[in-house]
Amino acid sequence: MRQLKRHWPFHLMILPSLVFLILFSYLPMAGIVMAFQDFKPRLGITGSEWIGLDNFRYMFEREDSLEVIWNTLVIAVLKIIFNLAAPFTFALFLNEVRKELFKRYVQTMVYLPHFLSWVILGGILIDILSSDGGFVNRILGMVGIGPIFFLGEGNWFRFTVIISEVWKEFGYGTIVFLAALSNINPSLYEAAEVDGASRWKQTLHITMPSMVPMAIVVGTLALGNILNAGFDQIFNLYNPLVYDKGDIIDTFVYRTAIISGEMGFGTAVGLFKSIISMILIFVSYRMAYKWANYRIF
Amino acid sequence: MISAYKKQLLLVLSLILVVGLLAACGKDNTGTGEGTNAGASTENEYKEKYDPPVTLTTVWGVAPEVKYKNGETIENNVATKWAKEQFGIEIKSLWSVTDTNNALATKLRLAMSSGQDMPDVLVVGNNDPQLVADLVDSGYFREAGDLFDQYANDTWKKAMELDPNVWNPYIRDGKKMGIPVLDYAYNNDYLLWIRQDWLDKLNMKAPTTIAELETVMEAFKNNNPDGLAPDKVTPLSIGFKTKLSSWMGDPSWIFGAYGAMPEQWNVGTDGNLEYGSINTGMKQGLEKLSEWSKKGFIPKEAALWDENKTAEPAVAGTAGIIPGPYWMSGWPLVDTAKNVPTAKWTPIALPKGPDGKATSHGTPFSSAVILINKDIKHPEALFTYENWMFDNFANPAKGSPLEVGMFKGYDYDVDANGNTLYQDDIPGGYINIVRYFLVRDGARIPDAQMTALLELADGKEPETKLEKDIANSFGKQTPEAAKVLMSQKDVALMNMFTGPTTPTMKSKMDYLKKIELQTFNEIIYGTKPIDAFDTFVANWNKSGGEQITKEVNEWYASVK
Repeated sequence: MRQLKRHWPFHLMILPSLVFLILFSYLPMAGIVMAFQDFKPRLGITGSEWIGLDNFRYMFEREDSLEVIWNTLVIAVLKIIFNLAAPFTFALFLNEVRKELFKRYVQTMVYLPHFLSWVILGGILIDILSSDGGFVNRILGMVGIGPIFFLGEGNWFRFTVIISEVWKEFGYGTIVFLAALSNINPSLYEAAEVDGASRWKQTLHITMPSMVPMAIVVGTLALGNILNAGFDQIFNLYNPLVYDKGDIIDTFVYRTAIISGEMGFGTAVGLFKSIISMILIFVSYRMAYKWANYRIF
Repeated sequence: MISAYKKQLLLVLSLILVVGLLAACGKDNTGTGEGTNAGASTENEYKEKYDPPVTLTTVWGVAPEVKYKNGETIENNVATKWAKEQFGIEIKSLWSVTDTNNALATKLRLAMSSGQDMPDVLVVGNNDPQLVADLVDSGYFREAGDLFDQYANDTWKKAMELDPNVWNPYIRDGKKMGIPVLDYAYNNDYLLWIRQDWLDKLNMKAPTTIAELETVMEAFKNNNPDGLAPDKVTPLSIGFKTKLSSWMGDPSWIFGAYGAMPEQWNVGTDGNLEYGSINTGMKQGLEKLSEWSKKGFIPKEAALWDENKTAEPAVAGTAGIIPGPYWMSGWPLVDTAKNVPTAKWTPIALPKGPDGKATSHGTPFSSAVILINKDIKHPEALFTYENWMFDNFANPAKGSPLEVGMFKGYDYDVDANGNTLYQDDIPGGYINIVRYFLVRDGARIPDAQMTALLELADGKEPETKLEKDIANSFGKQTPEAAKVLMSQKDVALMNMFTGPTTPTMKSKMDYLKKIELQTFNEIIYGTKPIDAFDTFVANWNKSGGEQITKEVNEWYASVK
């Protein structure tokens, strides 16, 4: 009670987020029942027909459902790996830069694309990756590599999607890792220097191990997104030529649930995704505790 | 550093949230005030003017570009005041939303699911057929066909008879549950726009067949009159990123030359409806497209191009031909002259296939639907309003009071010397008043615009209001294009299925569309042989297409 008295401003500050959470995250969970209904807006949740697991059956009966789930997994897993590795490495490099001004400048520049919307970036990418005189292909042409149809050939499409996502987001991850780096106790480096450790040895034995917990946090949280391969990005870049390698769960939910108004089906897929994500977060959290002896919460 | 940042962020977030919550509460309070005591009169008959006034309630999805002047709003403006004075009809708004990101559809769906009161008169666009179908089936609205037969005047009825199929989407058990809002016809019918200056320089004639078209494209590319290198020219600017049959720059007419019209339901040889994309004519069309893709006649990245993208090379002056509707001279082709001053676009008829066939997709005559509430007290008032609109506003003749415009100071004005002012010359700005009317666009007679265009094409001076509007604001070649369109009138093929989504469509159509687009693109790009089309048709039928065809024909039989 005395604690509460002393800390009430903090509790007050957390209140809006709590209200927000209850209002927009917990209350709507009641809507999950729609996943088991043939939901009709005019009949509402109480009046719509209960159809059990039919919505889930639809999802798996589609001839392409396995392909779509596989696409989602491949794209999402690769994104997670590169989104972890790229900022990790980049933060390490940036940490070695001694000029503070340059460091901040670079940090801001790589962070910038994070704020661009995929609607805009999609248009730009389509233009610069064009196989018909696009910027990238012109440069490749100079070194004798024939025009590559980046967005029209399945494997290149995946490649483009992953690289562009990493380019857009790694600045954000870099900031997180730089924060972890700034928390390393300088006395560790001093002691290492006294022991005669080279710069490389210091990186290997002090810097990198200190970053591992942060990498685990980021990785664990990212696992929750394993079935989110990035709707806005794919939606703005894909086309019929790459459906077999690029159509993901979210784009197909968009087409069926939003365009055709099949709310029940959309909810079912959403629920399916949430359950998988929850299991994965749970497992990875346990694993992190067991092997890295690290607890997030 | 991090924690200080976090605290600040949290503060900002909480502030935003609190403000947001307050704003949300505020909105709720204003939205629920609704009175139904007006219009206490119980007599129920059609009048030219109601005294005491009657009330019609409605809701508005306001397009973001709608403008106001003199402090007016969508609820209270020159048109609502006029309705009260002219007819004694008070138009009362239950609510209104700015219609971005489907706000109107969302709000209506929410209203349906939470059992809110629906307005007396609801006008919803056809662009969301599922919403329209859900509303029609919702039980909130009454049969409208009997009211129409009883109260509508001859002008309106005649306009409606131009295409009896406009009723089809709203017919349930033989009852017409909504009144279609008519729109100008032929807006979406196709013709080809070709660079006349290129043809002239090459001493070639406009192509009339697919074979001639190929010769022309070949010449445009390899012997370009403007001296462009072959790889810089797009002889035929088309794209098919999301659809094969769209509103500009699509390849549907190529299939049309072989007797197939994709992505719509056509009457087959046996009199039943058939999905156009599985017609055998598609195969020849795909073969042709694949050949053209190899030869570089169509854009290399056509699979990535949507409608607007196809206009880019056309405007840049590097495209020779672009397919599209008759109004393209006004936009986007008018801008080509800015890049290439010598460029001249001419409309020509769609080229014919080897059997002398040419086909374009057609344009539905209706853009929206009027739904009438079951509990409406004065349905006849709606007809008083619309009958007047059809008689006086839809196509005002020369010398009529509405010849120059409807509301002085809004869509026209008169200066001190008695000259009529239009558009930007109006003090305080021009207002597109059709947005203020109870029914979308006021009233449109489907063939009125085309008739006006044809008169202008024959060299007539603009006289009526429509003719003046066209002369003032449409592109120079538009009347000419209208004439071309009329010369190939019979080639337009309408989508014959206008009923509600069938059960199998709901679960299977997306997949079927996906394999369709994928297979067709792969054939065009040569990654699959032409025989993949036959596999596709078999797959299509097996994966639900056959069932959908059955359901569609059941519906067709019920309205035939």
